[in-house]
Amino acid sequence: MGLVTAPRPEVPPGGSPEDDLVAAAGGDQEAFARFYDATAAAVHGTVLRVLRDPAQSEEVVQEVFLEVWRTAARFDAARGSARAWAVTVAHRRAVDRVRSAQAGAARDDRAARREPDPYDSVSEEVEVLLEHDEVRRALAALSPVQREAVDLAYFGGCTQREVAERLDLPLGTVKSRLREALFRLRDALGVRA
Amino acid sequence: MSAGDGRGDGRGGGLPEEDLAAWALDAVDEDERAAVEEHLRTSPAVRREADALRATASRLAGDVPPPPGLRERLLAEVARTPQERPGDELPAASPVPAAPAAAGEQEDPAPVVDLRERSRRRRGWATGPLVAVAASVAVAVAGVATAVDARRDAADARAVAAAERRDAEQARRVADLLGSPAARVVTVAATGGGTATVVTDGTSAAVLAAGMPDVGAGREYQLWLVEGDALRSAGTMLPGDAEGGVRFVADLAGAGGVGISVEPAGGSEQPTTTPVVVAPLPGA
Repeated sequence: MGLVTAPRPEVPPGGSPEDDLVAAAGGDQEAFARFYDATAAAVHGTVLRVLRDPAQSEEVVQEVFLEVWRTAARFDAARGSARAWAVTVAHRRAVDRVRSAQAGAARDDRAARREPDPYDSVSEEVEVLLEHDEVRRALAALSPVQREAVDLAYFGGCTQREVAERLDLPLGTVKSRLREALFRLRDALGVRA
Repeated sequence: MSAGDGRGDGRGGGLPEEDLAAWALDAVDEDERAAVEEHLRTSPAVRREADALRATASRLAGDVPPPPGLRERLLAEVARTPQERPGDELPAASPVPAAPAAAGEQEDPAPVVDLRERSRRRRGWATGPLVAVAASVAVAVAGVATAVDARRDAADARAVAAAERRDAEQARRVADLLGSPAARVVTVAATGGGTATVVTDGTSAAVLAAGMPDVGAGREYQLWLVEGDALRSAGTMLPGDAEGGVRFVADLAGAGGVGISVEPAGGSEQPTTTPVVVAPLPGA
């Protein structure tokens, strides 16, 4: 091939996930493999936390990384880390799967359908394994009602409306609870706007 | 409405900013998501805040290494998966076979027959109820055009142009099918919202999905033909086409009904989720 000294930046092994993702957007499969190695545990951890089913989670993780590969050119480093981008894609997809499974199961009383959760016992164990100390401390700093709302929303795949129905609260209360909780987590984790 | 909703559910009231945290947690519905994201496009300051909240949410779950076999399977898949290109101005240096937006269409296993010829022979037979359906088809096709607009910024411009040509072609085919004196119509509600309308003359069919929710990136609606106990794929509908998506089936081959399920992009061999639509084929 004629690509003698193309201006393609050389991506050393161990480049940042951002560098690897940018290179992957240009078709570099090795860079993509490094990106996978750096972020797969975060992506899988997020998907598993929402779906709680290992087989389904594995499937979704594969879908997520294929989407990341296909759409890598959309990554905008100004808006956040490459890891956060991949996890965001992953969470959205996991939640979509939860919601479409529920839509298929029944259309009424959707939030309540989540009630007798067959995975609850698994969930407790998984939870212990999953959380980093820092994140666990941050979550522990939430009030119990804030924590409950975040759990249902982020890990349970509920919409804020479903959270309100499930907790029998006005929607406005749920909105402010989620807002306060997430701002508190942001500060505890030192994420800067 | 539930008892807890008593003080108004905020739809229509309330600022998109109030939903920022819920948006970052993926706890919004499609309308709310659209409102928040529209707001983010116009307000850089809010967008920075939104990005920080997203980054926060993305750290909540923690790490669990995936099963070891996944890496190899994924990388093999990557090697044969084309990527989106940011724009047409890029030199065609790499042999990317197709824009992803068109991939599902290309794998369409159901060739389209020329319905126009048939309807031409029977012109003038369309009667009352079909007029209403024709009107809803017009709405559906308008919906397709909107969906195309929405994905314009993300998709390859050539793919969008192709999609627009396809949409115009679809509108004509549906109109022609409706012109058949044998045309029968059934509309069923889809689980999760929206409706599916099936127009068939007994040999071929058009299935119109209207108002069905977006299934999210990387997923599509897939159409199935029910043949006795078996299901046969009749192709996928792109997520962006979910509002007013149209799918043709050229050869019903004795199918007794149709179903629609949500599947990974590109479709599945057999449904992997419970169908959101199951409709008998009228007259079958």
